[in-house]
Amino acid sequence: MVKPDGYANWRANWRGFFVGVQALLPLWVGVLPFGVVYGAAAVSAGLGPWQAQAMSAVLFAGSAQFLFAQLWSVGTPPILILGAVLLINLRHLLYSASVAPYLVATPRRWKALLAYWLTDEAYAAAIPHLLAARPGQGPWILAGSGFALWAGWQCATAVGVFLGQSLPTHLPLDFALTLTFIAIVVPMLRHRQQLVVALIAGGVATLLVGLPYKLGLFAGALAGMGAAALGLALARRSPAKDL
Amino acid sequence: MEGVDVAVWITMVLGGVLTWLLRGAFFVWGRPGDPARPGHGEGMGAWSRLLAFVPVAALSALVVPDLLGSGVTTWFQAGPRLYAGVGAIAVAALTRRTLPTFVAGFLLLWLFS
Repeated sequence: MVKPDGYANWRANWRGFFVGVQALLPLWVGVLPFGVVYGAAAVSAGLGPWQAQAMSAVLFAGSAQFLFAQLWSVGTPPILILGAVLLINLRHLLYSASVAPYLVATPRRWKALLAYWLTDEAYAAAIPHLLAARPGQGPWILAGSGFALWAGWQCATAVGVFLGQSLPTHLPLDFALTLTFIAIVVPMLRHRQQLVVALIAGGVATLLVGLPYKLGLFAGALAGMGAAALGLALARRSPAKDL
Repeated sequence: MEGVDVAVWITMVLGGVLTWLLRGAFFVWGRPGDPARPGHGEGMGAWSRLLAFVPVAALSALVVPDLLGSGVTTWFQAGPRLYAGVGAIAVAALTRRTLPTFVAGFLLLWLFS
C-alpha cells in the first residue's frame, strides 16, 4: 500500500526526533550528576528552591547557572551578572552559526524553540547526525537532543535542590561532564587537520584558563577556528590526510 | 527581601533572554542563506567547510583545560584527572562509544586517586 506523503514525512520527522533523543541519552551519565550538583550549589548559595529550579528552565545553561548562583550569593549587581552570563555563553554563537545551514527552511517559531534548546551537550550529540541527515530532518534531530537534555536537566536539578545537602561531597561528579565531551569529540577526530584544530583550541583555552567568566574557552575555540581557516587555505594545495 | 526576590527573578529572565538571543543569533534572526548543507554537494562554500570545525574546536576548548588545569607543565606535575582523561581519550579513540569511555575514565580516576 502506498502511504500518503504526509504520513511518510511525519514518520521521517519523528525518526529524526528519536535519533536526537537516542544520541543524547548516553550523555545523561555525565550531565545528570552535573545538574544535581548545580541544584545543591544554587540552594547553598542562597537561592530559594523554586528560584534554583526556575533558573534551569529559564536560563538552561549549566555553567552560566553556576556562575549566576555564585555571583548572586556574594551580592554582585544584576548588570554585572548579566554581563557574565553573556560572556560565558558567547561560545553558543559558534553553535548557532554551525547549525544554521540545517534550519534554512524551518519556520521561525520552531527555530525560536530550537534556539532555547541549543546547549553544549545537545549540539554535540546532534551534530554528527546532522551531517548525515536527510533534508528536513535536521530540526527534528536538534529538537530530540535538545528536549532529552532539557528533560533530564530539569529532573536532575530537582534532585539536587531537594536532596543536595545529603549527597556525598567527595564524589568527582564534575569529571563526568569532562568524560562526556571526550566521548563526543574524540570520535570526531578523523583527519590530521581536525587533530591540529583540537590541540590548538585546547592549548589556547588552557593557557588562558585564568581569564574571568571562562573567556579562555571562547578564545580557545576561536584560536582553533583560526587554525582551521588556515588549514583550509593550505589544503587547497594538498588534500587532508586521514589519521 | 521582597525587592531582592523580584530582582533575582528579573535578572534570571533577562539572562535567559540574552542566552536565547545568542543561541538563535545565526538562524532565528539571521537572513536565510545558502541551503547547501556542510559536508554535502559541490556548491559547499568555504564558510560551511569552516563551520564543520566548530564542534572539534569548541569541545576541545572545554575538555583540555579541565584535564590540565592551570600551572601543569610536566607529566609528573599532572594529577589523576589528566591520567584518567588520557586513558579515556584512548578508549574513546579505540571504541568510539560513550559508555566504555565513562567506565575507563572513572576507573582510572579511582585508581590514580
